[in-house]
Amino acid sequence: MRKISILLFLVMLASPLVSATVNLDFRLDVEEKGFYPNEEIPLDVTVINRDSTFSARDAELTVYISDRFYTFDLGDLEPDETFEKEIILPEFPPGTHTIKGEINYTGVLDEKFIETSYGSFEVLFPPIERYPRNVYVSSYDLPEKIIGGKSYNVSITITNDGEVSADLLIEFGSLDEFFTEETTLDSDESETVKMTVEFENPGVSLIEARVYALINGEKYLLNYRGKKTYVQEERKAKLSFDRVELVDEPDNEINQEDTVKFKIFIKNDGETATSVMGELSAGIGIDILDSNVSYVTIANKDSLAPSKDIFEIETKGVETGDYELNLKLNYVDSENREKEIKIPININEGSDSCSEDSDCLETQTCENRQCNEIECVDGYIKNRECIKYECVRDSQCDEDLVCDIEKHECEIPVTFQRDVLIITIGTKLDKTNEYNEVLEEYRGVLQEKDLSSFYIELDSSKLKKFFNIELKNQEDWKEIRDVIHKIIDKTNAEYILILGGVGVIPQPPAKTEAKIPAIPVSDDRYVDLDFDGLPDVAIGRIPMPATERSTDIIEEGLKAALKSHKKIKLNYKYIIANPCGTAGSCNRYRDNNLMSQIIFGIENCDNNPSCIVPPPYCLGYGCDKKDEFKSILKNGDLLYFGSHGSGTSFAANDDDGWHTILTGNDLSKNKMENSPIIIATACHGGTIDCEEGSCYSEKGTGFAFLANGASNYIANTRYGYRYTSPRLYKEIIASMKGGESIGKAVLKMKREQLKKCLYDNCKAVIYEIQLYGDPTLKIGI
Amino acid sequence: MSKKFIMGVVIILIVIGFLIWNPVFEKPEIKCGDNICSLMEDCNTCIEDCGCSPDEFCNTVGVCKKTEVCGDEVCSEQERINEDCCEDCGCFGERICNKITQKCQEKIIVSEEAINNIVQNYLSQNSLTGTIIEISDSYYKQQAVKIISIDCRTQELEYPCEVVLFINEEGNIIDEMKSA
Repeated sequence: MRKISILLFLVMLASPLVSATVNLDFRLDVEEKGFYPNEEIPLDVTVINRDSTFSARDAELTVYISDRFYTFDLGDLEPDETFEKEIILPEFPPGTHTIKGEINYTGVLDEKFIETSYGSFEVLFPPIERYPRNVYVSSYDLPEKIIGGKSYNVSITITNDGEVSADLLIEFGSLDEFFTEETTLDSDESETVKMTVEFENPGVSLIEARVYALINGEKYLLNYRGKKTYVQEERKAKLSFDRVELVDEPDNEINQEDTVKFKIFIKNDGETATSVMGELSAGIGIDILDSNVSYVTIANKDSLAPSKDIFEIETKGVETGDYELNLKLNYVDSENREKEIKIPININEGSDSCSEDSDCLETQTCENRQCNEIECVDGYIKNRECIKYECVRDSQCDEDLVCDIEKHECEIPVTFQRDVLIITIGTKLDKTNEYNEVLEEYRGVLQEKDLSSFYIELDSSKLKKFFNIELKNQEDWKEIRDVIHKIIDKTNAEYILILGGVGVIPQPPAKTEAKIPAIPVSDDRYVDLDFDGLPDVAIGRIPMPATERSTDIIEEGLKAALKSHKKIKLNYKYIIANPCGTAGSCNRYRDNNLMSQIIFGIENCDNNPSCIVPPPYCLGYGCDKKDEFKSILKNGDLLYFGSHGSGTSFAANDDDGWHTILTGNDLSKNKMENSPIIIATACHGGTIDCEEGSCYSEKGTGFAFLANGASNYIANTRYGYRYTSPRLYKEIIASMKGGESIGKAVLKMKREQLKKCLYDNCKAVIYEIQLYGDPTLKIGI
Repeated sequence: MSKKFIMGVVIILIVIGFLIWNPVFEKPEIKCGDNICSLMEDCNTCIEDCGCSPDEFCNTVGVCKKTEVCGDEVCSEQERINEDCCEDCGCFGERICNKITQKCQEKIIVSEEAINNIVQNYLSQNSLTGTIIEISDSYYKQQAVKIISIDCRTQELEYPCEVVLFINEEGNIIDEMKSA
């Protein structure tokens, strides 16, 4: 049962595929004989519907012979019905010609069928002497596109490739028009025949060319050639102006002074137009800002304008009234066409015209009787004036402030980091323009070295503004320390540079009770962040005498720092090697040899030409090489003084007695021009806090070096000690040679050596070593 | 009287208005509680954002510092009880603070005569002349010592000459320092 159901289902599925061919007997008969090219050929066509049930509906017969074809409508061929017809074919050129017949009909189930039959006939060369042969239509020239109802030039070329001269009759044309020409073509000659044909009927049209030989008044067909061409029906679009629509125009009018965007709608009452392009032009006073739009396709009965591609014009003082714009349309219907249409527009006085600002919006002013938007970049409009914001970007704010882009106000950043902290007490300095300029230049150089800096005067409102603290007692080093700790805490600064002497920012007592001969002072106290006795941040100072307010030394120190930053390596290095110590035998060569080794790699100072001994290399009594020594001061870029010191001078002693190497006063007369780094083991070499005596002034060595060209000066605030102090300096030099900045080299030495100290005096000798000048300097030794 | 009173009130109101309006007195906006310890905030003004860790305290300028740091000049309760930071807590009586051990030590007793003898011997051995300028008590490593400062200048010079001797309880010189 199940199998039967499946079978039935398959039969039902297959039924639409069943066809019912009608049994047609279809024959094409030509008399069995040879025809000549001047004879017409009778063709008998017989179609018999031998089917007793089905009819062949809508039967159409087509007979093809070479390029020729003949079509007959047979109608419905009922069962047992016979169709018979004799067709008289025209002349054919010599040769065997095949006849192909096709009957197209519709079957019972509306399916289409084609029944085909073949026949043939033979056309013989006539028995005529010197009968022209190989005369033929060698080429056709027809237009590629033919529109019905239009005339076109067509031509054929007849060529005689035979050996016999031929008198020819040429028939050429279509069903609509036929052209006849007689001519003679000698062997190897060609002739082109032209004619103008008007193709009236759309559809497939046959262009025929027949070439006859005229022999004794008789026409013999030599060649026949037909060419089918498709005659198109002419399609005409009828484009015309429909309307104008203004776009985003508040008053929906075109005014005398206006910029208007608009659409021009084009309607089409004809056939579809494709590739429609519009180009707008106008007369004087109207500028076309956007003149070209693409309409793409406008179908019959459509009226459209592109949605986004729109025209734009600008009027400049045009009188009110009606105007016409010219719109040139290029389009394709059945062929490429161009059409110009007029676009009417009306120019008005303008509904938003004004006589004063109050006629316009709050953001507009009245100009030339029109309301115009007020330009306002980086600001807002109030009372028709552009009020600039305080800022829209950080660069518009004062240094260290950032722009709040919502409030447009310069504000303190939420957090910020700075590598170098430059501090002073502003009210204790007589700051000059040069001070500000050189400070800016110095900070610029730091920036070039990828070091950000932060300059703050601890007595300024900036301290409160940025860190919410105030310095109440400028003389209290502990309060200053706490302030510095706060700033370091917030900025993560790696370097501190104090501008000014102890009169500006005091130099605190070192964290020791040892007296050398007094408890030394040291800026290390400011950078011991965790109070473990070890400095944590590199610190330097450009000092000036306590009673001074002039910033001259600060400026000189910063200028020298700028010069040093431009150098890559120290090239003119000297050790001024005192032969004797004050306490005991002349064994200071040991210290000098130590420095010779670390600076020059030469163990013995005696073998090092850069180890010079005072005298004769000095400026005081008994110094025979003063000029040479002055030259060293002038050109040297690293000078190590292994000498005695008093706070105002350096000295050497030998068996002949004491010799002044130089005084602070000498330096003011012998400027150091190569921004040297000076290192001195001398007692009081780096004292800047003496309250009386000559070290109180710029003659003090603590000030004189930086005041006269040195970029950095490393020295002791109290006594220097044989063996001990030079070893510490050696460590600094070693770190600098390892690539550390001078400030971090000093810091590293102090941290490492302080940890090793097992008695208080040891610490005091380390603490007292002070770095004066820019701590960030990195330079090769 | 009433005119003066009105004038006074007006002036007070103007001053108050000025104080309120004047940006100089305007307090900077601090967004405490946004988990960002901003420049303007610190552990004093915003514990939520800038609070210190348990072993720290907030100092007067709003910086967190370790509570127990020997050498911070603050004798903490712990240091006092443990007696392990004489540097901050000091020593009672005649004792000295050894900063290596952070314990208080008894000063050593070396007689003045003995010190003079030690110094004279030292000076003669080193072909020096000098006078003792200070005798003080200090430490050297674990032990208490006497530190003798000697002025060794032979003439009136501006350049100092100093010898520092470290003498232990046995009267031996255990170290020396000579000025440059």
